[in-house]
Amino acid sequence: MSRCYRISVSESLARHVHVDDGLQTKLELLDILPSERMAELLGARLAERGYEAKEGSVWEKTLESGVVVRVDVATGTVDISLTEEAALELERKRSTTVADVDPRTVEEALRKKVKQQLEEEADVATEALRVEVTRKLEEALSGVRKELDDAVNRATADALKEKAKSLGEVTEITEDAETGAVTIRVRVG
Amino acid sequence: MTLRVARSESHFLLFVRNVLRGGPQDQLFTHLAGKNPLYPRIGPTAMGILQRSLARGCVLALARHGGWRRETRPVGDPEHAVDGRLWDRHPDVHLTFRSWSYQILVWSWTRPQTDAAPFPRPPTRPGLGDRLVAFLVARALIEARLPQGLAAVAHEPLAQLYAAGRAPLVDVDWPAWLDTGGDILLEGLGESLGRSWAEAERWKLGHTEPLALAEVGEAQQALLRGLLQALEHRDRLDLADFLLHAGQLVVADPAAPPVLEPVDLRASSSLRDRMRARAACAAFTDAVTFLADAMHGPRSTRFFDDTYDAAQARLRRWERFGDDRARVFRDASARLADI
Repeated sequence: MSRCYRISVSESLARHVHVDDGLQTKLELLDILPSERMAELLGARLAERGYEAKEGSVWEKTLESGVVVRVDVATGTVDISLTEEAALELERKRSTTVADVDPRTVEEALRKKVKQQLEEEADVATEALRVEVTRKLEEALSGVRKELDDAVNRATADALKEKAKSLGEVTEITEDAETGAVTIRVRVG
Repeated sequence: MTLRVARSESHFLLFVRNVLRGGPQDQLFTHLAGKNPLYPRIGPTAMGILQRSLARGCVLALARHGGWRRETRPVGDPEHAVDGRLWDRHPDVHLTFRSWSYQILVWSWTRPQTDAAPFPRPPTRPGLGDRLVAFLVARALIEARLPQGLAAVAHEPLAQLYAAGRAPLVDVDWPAWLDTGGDILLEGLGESLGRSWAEAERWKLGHTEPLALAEVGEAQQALLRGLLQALEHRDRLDLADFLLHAGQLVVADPAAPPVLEPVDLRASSSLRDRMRARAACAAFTDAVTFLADAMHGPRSTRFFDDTYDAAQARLRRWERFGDDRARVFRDASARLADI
């Protein structure tokens, strides 16, 4: 007479996941004045926009979404990144009924399968978190880009004014707020 | 006169002919994907046929792949420009075949090219004919859609160039290669290289997987950086004209250009991977923009300068490419660098 066994296994997985995404780009700053002075002017305009000076020539700002923007005013390199963490706690139970086999072998195989499924679920959850991080980053990008373009344009205008003063007597400065265009009249010599 | 060879030898010689001529794709695939029998040494009759096939076939291949064009190019030094077809400009150059040609062909025939294993390294100074054979085998592998086999020919810089970033990258000593006949092969094979790079560019633009795209693009960047540096140093940027030829194929009409950036990258991939793919995608557009910027040299060459003839020839070839087309590539480079 055959013997039937009911085998149940329960496995859990607890993991701390850490995902990040980001990109790097470069600002184009014209060499109107020596590079150190251009860096100072850019730093000043970044400070107006909530950036804080960090080590070396790096200025940093953290947005509400957690996106971090780091600008190296000496090189013009911009790093935009977002990191998020999550605690995963997953549990899964599986049962099966077998007959005429060693129940321990079946239990071992079933446990292995459940662990594998938990790993797959953890990977799926991690990837979902990464996709969410990427989405937030993409949302923040256009605003960051506009802000940095604006800071670069203002710093360039500041540099032009400074350069103009070194050439002669500045008689008129006109700025178009819409286009950002700057017209400077200089009486030379 | 009838020549008798063994059956296995006749199949091998048919394979060689298909490689030299660019035979039907399905036949090439069957030949290259299979493990075909051949005795360790072919007989003297088969060897004689092989030698004649290589001599005639390689000359024809060189003509067909671009050597037929009548052009004015510097020969020997930048101040000495010669007009004519490839063999007119280099009448004293011989296609030399050493044992490496035989080794490449036997290896390609007897081993299934579905494995990514490199064949024997070339000798210190392979002959010009050997280099051409390696190039033709690489071409056959790509035509037969057997890219794994490209690892076999990766040692030959010309095969690397033809693969346009799709072969495993091997460090190339470009100056040494150019010094030992590579410059003549670049002149003669420009059309074929151009078509291959155009195909690689279309593949990149239609690809959706960022990391695969980044891998090919970064390989192209490394390849082109080394080559263009070596050519600029020797004042022979005209040898990179195959890139302009590719550009003409990719952008047929500058007034209605295709989109020169990958637009369908997998949306669920990370921004980092997508930006890496975009930056790598700029390998070709950056190289074309570099060549466009280098045209200031020929433009500023005066009629009494010794390099005037070569400069004028380069400007005539540039006119076929055109400033409008160059602008399309320059704009694409700028967009690919932007976030």
